[in-house]
Amino acid sequence: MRKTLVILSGTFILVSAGLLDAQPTAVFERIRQATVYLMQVQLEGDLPIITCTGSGTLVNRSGLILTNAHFALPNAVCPGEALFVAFTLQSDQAPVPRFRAEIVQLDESLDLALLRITRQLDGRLLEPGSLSLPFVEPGDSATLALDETLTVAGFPDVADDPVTLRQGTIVGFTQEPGGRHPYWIHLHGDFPGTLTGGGAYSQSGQLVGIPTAVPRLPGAAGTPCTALQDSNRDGLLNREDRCLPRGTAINTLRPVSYALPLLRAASLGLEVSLPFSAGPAQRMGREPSLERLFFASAVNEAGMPNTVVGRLPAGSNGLYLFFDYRNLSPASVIELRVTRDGILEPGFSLAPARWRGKENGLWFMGSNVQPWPNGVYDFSLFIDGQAAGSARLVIGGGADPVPVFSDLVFGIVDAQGTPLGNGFVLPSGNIANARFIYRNMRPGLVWTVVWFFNGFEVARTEDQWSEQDGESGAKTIQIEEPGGLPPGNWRTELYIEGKLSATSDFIIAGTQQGVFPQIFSNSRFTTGSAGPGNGLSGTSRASSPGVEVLTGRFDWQQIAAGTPWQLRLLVDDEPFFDRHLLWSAPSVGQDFVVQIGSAGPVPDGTWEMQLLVNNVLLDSAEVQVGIGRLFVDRLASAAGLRLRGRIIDSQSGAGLEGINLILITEDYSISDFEWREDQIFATARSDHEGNFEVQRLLQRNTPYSILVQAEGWLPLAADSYQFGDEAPDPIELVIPLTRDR
Amino acid sequence: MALPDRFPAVRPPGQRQRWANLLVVLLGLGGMLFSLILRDQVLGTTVRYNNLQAGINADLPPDWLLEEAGSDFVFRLRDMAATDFPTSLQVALLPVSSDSAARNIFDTLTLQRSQTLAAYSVENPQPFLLPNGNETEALSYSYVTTAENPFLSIKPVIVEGIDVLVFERDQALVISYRASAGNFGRERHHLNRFMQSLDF
Repeated sequence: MRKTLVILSGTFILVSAGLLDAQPTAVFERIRQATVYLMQVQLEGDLPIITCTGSGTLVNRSGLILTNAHFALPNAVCPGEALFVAFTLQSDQAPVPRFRAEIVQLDESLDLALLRITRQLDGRLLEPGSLSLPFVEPGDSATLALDETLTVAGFPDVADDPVTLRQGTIVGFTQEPGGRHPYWIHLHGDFPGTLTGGGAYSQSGQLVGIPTAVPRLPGAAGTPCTALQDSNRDGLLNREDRCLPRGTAINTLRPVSYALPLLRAASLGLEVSLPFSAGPAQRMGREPSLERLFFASAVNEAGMPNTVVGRLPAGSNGLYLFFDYRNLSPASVIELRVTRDGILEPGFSLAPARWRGKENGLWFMGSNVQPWPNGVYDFSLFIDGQAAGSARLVIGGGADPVPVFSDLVFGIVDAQGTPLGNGFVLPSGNIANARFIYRNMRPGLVWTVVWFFNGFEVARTEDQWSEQDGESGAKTIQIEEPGGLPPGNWRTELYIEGKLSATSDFIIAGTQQGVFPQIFSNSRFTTGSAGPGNGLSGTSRASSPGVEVLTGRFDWQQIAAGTPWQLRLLVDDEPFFDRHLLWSAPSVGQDFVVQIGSAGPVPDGTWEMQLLVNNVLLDSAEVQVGIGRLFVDRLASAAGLRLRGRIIDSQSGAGLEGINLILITEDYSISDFEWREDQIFATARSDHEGNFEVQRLLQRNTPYSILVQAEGWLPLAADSYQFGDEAPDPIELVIPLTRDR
Repeated sequence: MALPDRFPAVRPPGQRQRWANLLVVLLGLGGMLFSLILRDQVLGTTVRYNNLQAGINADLPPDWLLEEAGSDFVFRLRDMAATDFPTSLQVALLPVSSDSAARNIFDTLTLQRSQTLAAYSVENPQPFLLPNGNETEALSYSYVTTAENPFLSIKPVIVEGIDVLVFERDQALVISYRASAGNFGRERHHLNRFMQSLDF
């Protein structure tokens, strides 16, 4: 179409020397660039007041930032309503505010938030797609192991410090109810509180965790804070001004795997809405409390203790602290301090963190992957900085042959008395059976069974151990109610000689379908948000593209208010919504609506809805939209080479401002280039010092064409410019231009 | 310093020299004319563009980057050789009703742009004479660019722009020309040539 270019041969592009450093340098530099400083700001009046600060990490090129929820979301400690994002422009300098951001995805219970940069500093909206920022990719936090070294990136203070990269060693993991993988990674190292919300990176430079610690209320004892602004405008900067909480030292990371559903939902612009508030209830002024603290050496798949232990033998790997909690809320801050022989053990302690559970229930914290050294352990729990409970355990010596009950499971029994079903969710009926294992029992020992329903004792039996049951074996007990056992939360406690030996919670819900409960049924997807919807009922049905709203629907029966359940939504087998909820609809009903909205049409893909109770999958539905697979975003990868450099006057060596560099895709040469946008891989523009940076990453061994054309300067162009496996990252180019006289 | 006693006598030019002088003058004029024609040709070189979907044909300046089907335009041309701000021509289609007036379109554009463009200010709409002799309205405005890349020190540039409105049945064609304040007048011939060739 047009033959326009003057192609000058020659080596007009120089690879600068001295930048052939090892790969980790480039990785660290990218991490530095992707780490941002976040300021939560109160905009009342004409003086914006910084209310909280923290770190964050860019996780995609369009300005999505992963950070903590506790300072992003307005709350009592951090009451600001606007979020400002500051970047490190020079690696040895303090960050500079550049943009504003908004929360797009949030999970308060995980203390995770995804922000999107949406506005310029002055509040003007950014044009969609106008940003192209450096970012890091999340890695696989499930593969982390003890003694692995991680690098934590963030801002160490609220003063002039630039991004800091500090190394730490994994010294432990903490598991909690709800997931197969640990909810916390314990890191040994020096990590100040302002690193919270930043990133922890594996040795390959992948984001694997988010340093997390919640500051206590300003003014609380031991809470470090700094007054930065004359907030009361009395002309003095002192303790009367607003104090910026800096948080306590961090020793815990939230694994990045728990942020992936949020990231997926944010990247796809998805929003899930439920027909009623299905989140945890807010406590209404009642004091939070913890009680019934005890230890177990293992946890089963439903999150229940195998048995209750008073001491553990030397060499034990598994130890879990269980407790009942009352009146907690997502705003509650819990902290666990563990001492061994009176000395604090950071590897087993938890820094202050947001409460992840519901308002009331049974909780545990523990681990089975690290050895617990011998000693006397004291576990102390704090809620909102106040001591809330403690328990002691001794580890050491050999195993005691003490009488013990363990491994409680529930179900409907067959002719042999063996419970059938999934173990912890029973259908409604007249009888609930519990089976447990016993060891080292002696005839005459007094043992007690107590049954609870929704926290109230409903039955108690006490007996002496009979000789015919023997010393070891399995035994089945039951509770019977001729009128039917009501659906809800049940608990069984087993005592030996008045001492708790085994306990487990179970749920009665749904109707009986064989040995399994049928709680949820008729799960399906429809289009549209109102009425019965169109078309997509059933599984594996393809639909046409252009669906504006996808609605998951299901019917339910015999599920009591307050019953915990789990809703998991997936696209192409990857979850984008995974929440533990409390049932708050009527106990029987049809057409529970889960609405999946999107900024535009729902993306093509295979969508799935899973309904679980006590980690047991009870029903699911699947549907294909469009081609049944998500569009592959080539820009979503952080793998590749950065290209940057300087455009200069060949005679004076001075940097040239405002010169455009055009990088043409590998499919076209300079002679094929017809000045069409779709032929361009990326463009870059030089700043007032002549510096430029291509914001899209180049792939190795891919030939690009480069064109530099500016008014008043001779144009330069080159074909087949490619970078091999040995090319440094970033690639630094110096492009000298000659004046066109 | 001693002066010569006498200067050599000046002789009138001969016939050949007169012709030579005339030829030099003519050659000079011819050269200037040729360079003017060449310049005009270079400046006037265009490429025909057809957008079948939108039903738009126009002559476009060569070596300007063509971008089609953007979120808010049918096509856009940018002069990537411009060193302060890429001079651009953009065509957008907006649906209108029989009640729509030019002012409504301009108001919409103003409200929209004021959300994203710094120091965006507009002037009163002015009459604009189309190449076919019809009169329409045009809106002049200015704003300041801001850099999206936070890692570079790109200074703001004052940009001037003009939107020319052409109503056609139930659509309004908005032809936007933008350039840096320094280039706006000098490069405006691109808009004029574009308007002359525009077939909608």
